[in-house]
Amino acid sequence: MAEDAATVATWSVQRRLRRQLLALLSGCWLLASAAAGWVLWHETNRALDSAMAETAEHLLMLPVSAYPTHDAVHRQMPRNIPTDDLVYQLIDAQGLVQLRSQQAPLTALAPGAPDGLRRQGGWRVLTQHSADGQRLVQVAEPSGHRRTVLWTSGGWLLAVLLALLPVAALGMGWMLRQAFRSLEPARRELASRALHDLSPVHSDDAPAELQPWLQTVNALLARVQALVHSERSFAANTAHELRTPLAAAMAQAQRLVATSADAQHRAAAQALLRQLERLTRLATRLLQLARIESGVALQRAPVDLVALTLLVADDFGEAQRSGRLQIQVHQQPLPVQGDIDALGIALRNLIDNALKHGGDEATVTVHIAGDSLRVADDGPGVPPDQLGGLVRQFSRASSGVTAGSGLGLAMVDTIARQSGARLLLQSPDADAAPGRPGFSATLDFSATR
Amino acid sequence: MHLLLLEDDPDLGQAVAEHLRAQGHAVQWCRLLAEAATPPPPDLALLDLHLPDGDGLGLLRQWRASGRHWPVIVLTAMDQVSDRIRGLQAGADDYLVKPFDLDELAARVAAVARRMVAPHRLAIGALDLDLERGTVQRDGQAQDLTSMEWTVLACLARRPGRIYSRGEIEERLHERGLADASSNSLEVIVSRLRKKLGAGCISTHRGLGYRLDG
Repeated sequence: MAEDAATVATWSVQRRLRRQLLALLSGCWLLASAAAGWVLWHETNRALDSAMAETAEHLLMLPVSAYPTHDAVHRQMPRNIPTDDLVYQLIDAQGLVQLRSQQAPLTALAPGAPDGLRRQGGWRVLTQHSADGQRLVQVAEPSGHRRTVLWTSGGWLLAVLLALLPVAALGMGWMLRQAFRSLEPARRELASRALHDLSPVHSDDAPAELQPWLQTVNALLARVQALVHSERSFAANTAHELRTPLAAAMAQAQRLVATSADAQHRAAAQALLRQLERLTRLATRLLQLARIESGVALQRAPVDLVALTLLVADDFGEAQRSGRLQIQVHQQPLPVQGDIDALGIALRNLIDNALKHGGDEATVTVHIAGDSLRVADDGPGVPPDQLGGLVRQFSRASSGVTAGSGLGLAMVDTIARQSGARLLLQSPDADAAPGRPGFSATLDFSATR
Repeated sequence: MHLLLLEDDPDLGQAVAEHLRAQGHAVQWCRLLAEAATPPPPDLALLDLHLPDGDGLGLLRQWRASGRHWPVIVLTAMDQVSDRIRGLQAGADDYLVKPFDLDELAARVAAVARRMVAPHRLAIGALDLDLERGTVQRDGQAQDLTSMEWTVLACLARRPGRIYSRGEIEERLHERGLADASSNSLEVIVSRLRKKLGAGCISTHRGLGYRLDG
């Protein structure tokens, strides 16, 4: 079933969860990186700005004698300015650069700028005047420098995320598979249970998320159980309610036949009796159908075929007394798994059919051999081409319950299939005597082991 | 023969009683369990199971528990094999499903009547069974039976000529608390019964079980 679900795969909670968790992880990581970048930016700015301020303070404290000559400084000015260094200029009151770092430009970075920080021509410039206002120092840094630092850190954070994603995906996949595996025992219990088993599923060791599902399944099972139960008790109650008045009517009609002195009255009473017998057969068949449709034959318990046959044969008192119904055991009978009432209905129908269709002269023998029951008559038999048509799947809708022998056999066939057994029809019978082909129906339980 | 009929349906009860009286039996017809709880001992009881004041099987068990062992034929609308097993386990000797043929009922009653030599006493071949006291005589000679042997004999004697399977007899022993763990105990009991009652009294039917021949 799990494989089926995987191949059909409409959508999977597991895959969706993994996707969403990965998206969430990436989102959180990016947000965290952005926050970290923002903090980094501000902290770096503060630290570097205070470093610039400190440099400015130190430069302003230099005595004037420490300044080199203008020419020397100017001449030392390099053409290429590296962008990643702090540069500085000490400027006198005339706006001339007195002292500068090697990479600093020759002219003032931000001429006339007030004290403080400002951007000027690709530089971040800190201007600081000396206390006497005679000198000022400008410390600058290429403004691209800090962005480069930020982007490098950001790049690293993203690279870590990219490296982490496949690992996280694998880990989550594993975790989700483990989590979803905890649903498996309940599924396995449901899948492995027998067809007729309507007992509740055990939910003690299932996770809390599955509990409502199992409770729903159990409620459903209970409802099916109740339906089956009501169908069965319907059959049982109806049996009583139908059979009692039928019994009274038949008994009264039989009394009428027995006591009527008048031939005409007796004939009428006999007609009444015949109709009542028909009605009884009809009622019996309806009740049998109701029982079979409620699935009695799906129940399993060991059934002793010999005891079953002896008990069912008790119903055919007249046939037994006259010797028309025989029972033979050929091999040590084995107990079979089935429902004794359903198998009783099947056997009763087979014996009934054999007695009816074999003719008054025929002997009906129930052969018990190991795990099979064969009901054979030595009557005229059935043409081979008609054997197949004897068993058509019955349904209450498609065929009337009064239909001939076919319904009886179809009912037996249904019971056999529900019991996991097979119904085999044979004509002539295996033990047929010359001139009396006979007909036999075998219930084979060998497949139920 | 004195028959006790327990049937609440007036039309059925009347027809059955009339039919059996026409066969020469004395029929006492009760419509309620209460009327039949402690009846004057009949030779045979016909018992419906669904009665307005309770379950006929309960009465049957009560009878059997209090040592009332007269033959009982259950007349019921319950037609399933398991119902029949329940009836036989409760101590019924025969089981007839409604609607039944009055002649079939009469035949089953006659089978008991044929063997009835005196109240509670059945004659089967050379055997004379006293159902009330649980004793058996062979050619007038009392035979000493153990409770296991009597249980098997009484089981077979419910319907002489009917084969009882091992399972049915062992079930009966089990109900009386006489079950034996050994699987061949039934063979031992039957062979002892044959020794006491005559070799031909119980026949073995291969695979099917045992039958009391009389």
